[in-house]
Amino acid sequence: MKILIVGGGMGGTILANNLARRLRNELKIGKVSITMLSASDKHMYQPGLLYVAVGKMNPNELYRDQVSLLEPSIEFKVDPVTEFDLDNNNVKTQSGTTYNYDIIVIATGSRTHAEGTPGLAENTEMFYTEADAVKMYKRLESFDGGKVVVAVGVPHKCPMAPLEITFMLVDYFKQRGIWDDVQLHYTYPIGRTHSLEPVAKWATPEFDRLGITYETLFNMKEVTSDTVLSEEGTEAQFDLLVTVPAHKGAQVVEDSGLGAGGFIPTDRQRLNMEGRDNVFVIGDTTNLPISKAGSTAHFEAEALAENIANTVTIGTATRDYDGKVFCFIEAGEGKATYAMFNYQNPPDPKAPTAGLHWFKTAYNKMYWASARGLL
Amino acid sequence: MGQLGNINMETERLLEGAGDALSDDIIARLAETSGELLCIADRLARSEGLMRLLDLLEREHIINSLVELGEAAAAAKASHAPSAGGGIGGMLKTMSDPDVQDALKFFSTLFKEYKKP
Repeated sequence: MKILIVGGGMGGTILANNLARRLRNELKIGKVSITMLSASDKHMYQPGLLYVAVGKMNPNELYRDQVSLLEPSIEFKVDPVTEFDLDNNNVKTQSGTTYNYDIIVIATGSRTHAEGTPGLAENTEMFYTEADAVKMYKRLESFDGGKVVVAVGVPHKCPMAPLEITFMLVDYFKQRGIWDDVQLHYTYPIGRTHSLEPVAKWATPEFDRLGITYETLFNMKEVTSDTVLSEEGTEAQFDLLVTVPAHKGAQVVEDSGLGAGGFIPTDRQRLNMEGRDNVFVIGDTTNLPISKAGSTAHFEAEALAENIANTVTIGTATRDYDGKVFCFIEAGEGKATYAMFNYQNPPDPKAPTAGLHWFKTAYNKMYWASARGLL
Repeated sequence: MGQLGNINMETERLLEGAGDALSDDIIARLAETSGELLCIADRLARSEGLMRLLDLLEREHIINSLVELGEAAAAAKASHAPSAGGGIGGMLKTMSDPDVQDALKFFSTLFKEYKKP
């Protein structure tokens, strides 16, 4: 049986390693093969970009060779997919190769789509690529005070990113001694400060305590060199604009017509593409109305690996993904909290503590063990 | 109660001191090292080669042979024996030594055992 994993990010890597462990014997006798196709030979710890943007991490800390993270029994190719032919169980790649499969897992992630808002890309700072995060840090270093606006597009990767960057900016400006010269203004697209109501209930008093002003129901429509205009008819002037832009799925997913905006319609429990039994989707690539976060991809990968392995060994899947997501929230002042939730239970973030900040700091470095399937 | 109060205060102060002494950098370095060790331990634990070597090392006669080998190496180093002469004659002389033959037999047995499935 040929298992093909498209995408070498967090979800694809954890899934591949988990499968290789579960199917060790089958791989050994050649009953099963696992192939991973990726666009890069490097693996990036994407949550670290937030820290790069405020000078807390160096980009070099974010990368490992993908091969070093994979079980030796996994065949790894740097050969991005250019076309999905799901009716014929194959994909075509940049090298011109056609890969056939019995089971395919699509874990191609998401990308920013700042160009979807006129004027945004030219006038904002972002932190979703290494180049953008470094550029943002350099911009912060030359910033001496004024009005800073945080604006948010949907959908976006990492649900806590808007809050975290806001709190981390407060820390950054305080450390530079210019906080008194900064007015920090937070905007959010829906009628509260976060999509998850319990998180909004925790964050809003924090904003009040820190003197951060906020405006809800603010959807970016257009950006000029000093003003963000909203779909709702309001506007926010800025000296520095920091955004969490709207995201889209991978271009190839969009081009292959697998789902609107590059997000594939996915069964919320079995994680198969709707209408197809041998096509599975994890991580940001799904259209599930849950957080696009590394932990989502992680927990989905664990459930799916168990199901695929059981399909190979006993002929049937046994587990449903329960919607589990765990997100740290850096709250500034050397403290952090977290939100844990699933399809049935909403999050209930508690007061931030130094211990949780250290836990998050530790996880930033232990991620590689997680990618290998150990944590 | 007084003693318990002291213990609580001592513990609280100890934790507070430990917390104050730590920094993000220290936590990051400790975590990085722990993560790497975890990965190494995992790879070793699942290495078939290492498992076979450990199986081998549990066999009594292998342990005895290794001990003898170690003792022989120590004795050889201490003996200051003259080096063997060169050429085929020197090699034949060395090979006819019963101790050398025992050593060769030992390595031959060792590799035969290792090759066993």
